Amino acid sequence: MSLIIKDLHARVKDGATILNGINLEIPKGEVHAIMGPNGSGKSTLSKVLCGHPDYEVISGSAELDGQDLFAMSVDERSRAGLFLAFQYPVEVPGVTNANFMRAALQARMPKGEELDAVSFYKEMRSKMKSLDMDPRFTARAVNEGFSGGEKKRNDILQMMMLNPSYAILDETDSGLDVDALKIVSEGVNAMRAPFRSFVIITHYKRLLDYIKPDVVHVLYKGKIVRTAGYELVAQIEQQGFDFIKSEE
Amino acid sequence: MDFSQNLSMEEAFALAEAEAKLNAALQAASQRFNDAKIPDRYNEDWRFGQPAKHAVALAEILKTNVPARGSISVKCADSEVVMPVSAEDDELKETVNLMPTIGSDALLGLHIRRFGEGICLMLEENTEIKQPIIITYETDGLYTPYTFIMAAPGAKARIEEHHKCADGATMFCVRNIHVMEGAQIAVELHEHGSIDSRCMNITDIHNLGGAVQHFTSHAGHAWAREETIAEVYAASPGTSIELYSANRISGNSVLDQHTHQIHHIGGAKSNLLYKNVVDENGTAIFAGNIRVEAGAHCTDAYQTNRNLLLSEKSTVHSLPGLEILADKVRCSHGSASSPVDEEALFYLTSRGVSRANAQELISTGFLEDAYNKFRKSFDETYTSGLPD
Amino acid sequence: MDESTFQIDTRGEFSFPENHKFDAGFGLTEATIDYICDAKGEPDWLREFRKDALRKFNAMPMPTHWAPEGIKDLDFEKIRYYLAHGTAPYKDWEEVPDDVKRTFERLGVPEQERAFLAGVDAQYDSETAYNNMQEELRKKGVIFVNSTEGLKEYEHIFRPWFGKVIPVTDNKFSALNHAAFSGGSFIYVPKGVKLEQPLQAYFRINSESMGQFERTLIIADEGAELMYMEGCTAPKYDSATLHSGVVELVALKGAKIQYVTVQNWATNVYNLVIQRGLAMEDAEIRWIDCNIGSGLTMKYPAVVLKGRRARGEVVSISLAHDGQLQDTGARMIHAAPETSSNIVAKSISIGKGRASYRGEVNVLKGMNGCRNNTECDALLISAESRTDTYPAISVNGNASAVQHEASVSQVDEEMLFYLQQRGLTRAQAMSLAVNGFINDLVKEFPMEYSVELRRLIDLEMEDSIG
Repeated sequence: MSLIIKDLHARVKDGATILNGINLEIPKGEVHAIMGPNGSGKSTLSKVLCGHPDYEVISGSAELDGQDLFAMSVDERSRAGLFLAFQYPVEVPGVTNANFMRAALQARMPKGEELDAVSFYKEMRSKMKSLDMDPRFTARAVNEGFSGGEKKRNDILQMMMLNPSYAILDETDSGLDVDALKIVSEGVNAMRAPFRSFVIITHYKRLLDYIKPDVVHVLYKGKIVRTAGYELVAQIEQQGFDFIKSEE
Repeated sequence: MDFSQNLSMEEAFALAEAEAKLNAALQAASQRFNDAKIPDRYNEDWRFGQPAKHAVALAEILKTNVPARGSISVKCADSEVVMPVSAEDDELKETVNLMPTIGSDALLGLHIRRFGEGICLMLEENTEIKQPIIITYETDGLYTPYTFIMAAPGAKARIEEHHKCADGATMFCVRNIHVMEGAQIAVELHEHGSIDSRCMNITDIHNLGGAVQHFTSHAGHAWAREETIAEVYAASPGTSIELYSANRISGNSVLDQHTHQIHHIGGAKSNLLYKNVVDENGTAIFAGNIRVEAGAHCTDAYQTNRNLLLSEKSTVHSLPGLEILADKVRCSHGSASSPVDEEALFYLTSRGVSRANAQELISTGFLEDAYNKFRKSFDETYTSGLPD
Repeated sequence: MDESTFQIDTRGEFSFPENHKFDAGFGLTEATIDYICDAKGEPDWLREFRKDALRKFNAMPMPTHWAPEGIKDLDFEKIRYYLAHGTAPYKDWEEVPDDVKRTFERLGVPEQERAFLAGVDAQYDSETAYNNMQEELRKKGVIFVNSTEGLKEYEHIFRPWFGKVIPVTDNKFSALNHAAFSGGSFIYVPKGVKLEQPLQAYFRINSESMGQFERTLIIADEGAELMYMEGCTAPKYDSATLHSGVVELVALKGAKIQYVTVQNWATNVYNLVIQRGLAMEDAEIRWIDCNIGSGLTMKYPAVVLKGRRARGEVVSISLAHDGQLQDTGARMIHAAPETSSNIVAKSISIGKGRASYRGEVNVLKGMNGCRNNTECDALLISAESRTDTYPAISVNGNASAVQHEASVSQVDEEMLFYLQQRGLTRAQAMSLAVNGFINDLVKEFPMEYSVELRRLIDLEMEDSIG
């Protein structure tokens, strides 16, 4: 069981091609990091996998546990176990965090079954506590008026609640101070399991110090140009991405 | 049809079709004037405007055979572009026939009967006229000029129009501004009234892909009505219409302003800022409407009306309207009417300025803000040009 | 259609067979009025009053400055002006078909009301509830009866205020109501009495109060406080129907009245209602209004701020679906100094629906220190939907401040993607976003109404996108 991407080409709808033949396999239980300079296509890859309407797949395939990912709608992908922690989580005025999570969990239940409200709140509160979030956030509108760090934390909370099998963290470290980074990483680490994998998209080594990846990929000009172990992180930290550019 | 030019079959058909369309439109136009009623209290576009008093009075003089009493002066660096309006110019007359009004078709019909005064500006393709073109109409009786401005693609110019009325005089001006793709035009109109003078302007701005900034200011007329219809028919990057107005209304004066921002096609921007300072027994009416037609997606349209009331007898009627039939539209309007801010008055008086002077300073600044925004916007597009 | 069956469509509309003991037929003439007066056993002064109103109605033109174009399609000759069942309903709740029951459940209609709407025993259990409540109210001196009874039994209180807030000649529809009214409530709350429980229309709904020309008068004496709730889901009549009610509120010195409406008429109903309140010194009137149903609604709750420091507020939500025009808004007339008013209106246009805001704020001459704040926000759900805003603001004098802001927006695509990424379908995501848009206003409605409101919106979204 894994997430398998084969020769994926994608572009901005009616615009520039950004992904030029991505090949990736993320087996269950592993943590993969994707690094790369600005504009290499990291965020595009995460959005294409989740089905963002601004992008279109030109060719190639993606399989999630044997299912054709690109044949599914955005929400079907989510319910199939794919989660994206957004680089810029969206504000949803008037919709409370609790109501949103209830709706999202209800959507995952078989028809006719009702989510138990009491245990839901209990669970949400305890997860918020582990992320050091104010319990009053349950009654606040999703991300509305949240600081950058609070938004990121809220996305991690959603991940914990929805229990995905594949979680993509798109630059979750940006906008987080050291303490928040630590809390978020602890949350992610606590979720590491043989039935779950993570794809961590980041510029910096910082986050990878806390969440140690099994495999590191370097994305450059819409292609995976290098795949190695954790040692690659150190190399990038020392030399930047120049060594890849010079290999061109 | 002119067959001397060896037209292909298709071209000939297209020409015939265009001609038939125009004829139909002209017929509809003349029908429109026949059907039109002098504005009365049931005319929604004259709400608060006391049509039984003002529209009827204007119609009465227009119907008389009083000859035109007025003078025109034009200052322009390039005399080639200026042409006086001639009563015999049927083609030009047609352009008036096709103009929309805001509830005043009957009055426009009466204006056309007096067609033959005014100025035509034909701004040539990709030509810039650096010095502002200054048009002045003056009257001590009744004057009904027509200003026609055609800005060809890529033309750039700044136009100042001044209307001056002597005591008891009436000026009714119809203005038609066509802006083609890539043209950049700024037009400012200054109304200078006197005791018991009246004026009315019907202005149609036809934007086919250019940028136009329009500014009006009023001072001194006993009664004035402005109808400004700004329409976007074609959009290219940078297509925009900006409408600004700054007016001071005092004595027993009435200023009745009506605007339409109509987006027939998407992808363009329009913005409006109308400011009034109303003193003594003055009345300001602002009725604006933004209409985004079905299919005109991705339109940005804004409208703001601000009024300062200086006297306990001052009156403001503000009717900012929106009609949105398209998607992906960013649209808002705001209207605020209030006295001069007490905090600001306190601040200025604490520096030793008298209360009256402070009020005057604040209201002048309030109006200048609109003019400055007009100039700033113009200077910016003028110097940087439109995006390619 | 079999007389005993129910018709139901997907949007929760339903109808029941008409069976009226009293039916004044089509069109409105002096004979119609005689018929109504005879059926109701009304005094001569009222008969004359109605006939005078009819003459005025016939003489008056349709409104122009204040009306959408759709009003032109209204044919007064094709309207039935008086219908009353007069007989006791004949069904048990058990006999009601399951699909109708399910619809009520989906809608979350309160149980008493479900039974009534299904045509089951109009009195139902509510008779007891009604009587218990009546007893408690009676002890406090509160009068809560229908308008016919009010005019008969409490003429000395009713008649002095009758047609005073909304005069016969206010507009054509006001004249119409004065001529043809039947049903509606008469409420009087004595000095200083503060009612903690809201008074609900359905407690005393009977066949007559379903009348299309209801007439409601609420008087809150000095320092009194009450909340009144009306409406909900209403049955679909077989023919196009005109609903043209008049609601007058009088809040005397220091009194407070809140009037809540959730309107969900069938789409073949013209809903043309005049609602106006008179707020005296230090009094407060709030209209909390939600329009979801009806093909054409014209409704602009008004407050005339007649006493110093009076306050007025309108909170309005409207939802326009395919074929619907919700022409709603508010009017605030500042007729005393230091009065303040607030208008918050939000509308949602779905499919080919059209929602318009029409408003009037008027600060009269010499009224210093008045304040108004108006906010109108419109949400467009599809490329074909339409929204309009037509406010008219008049300010006299230099000692009042009036502010109006309006905006038009769409549901943000990024937001939908975000919600869908968490596993919600597009319809669910949309309905969540729409609920979020009006969330701050829904809070103003009493609990059971806000629940129903949210469910109605979910249904609308499922149907339009699902």
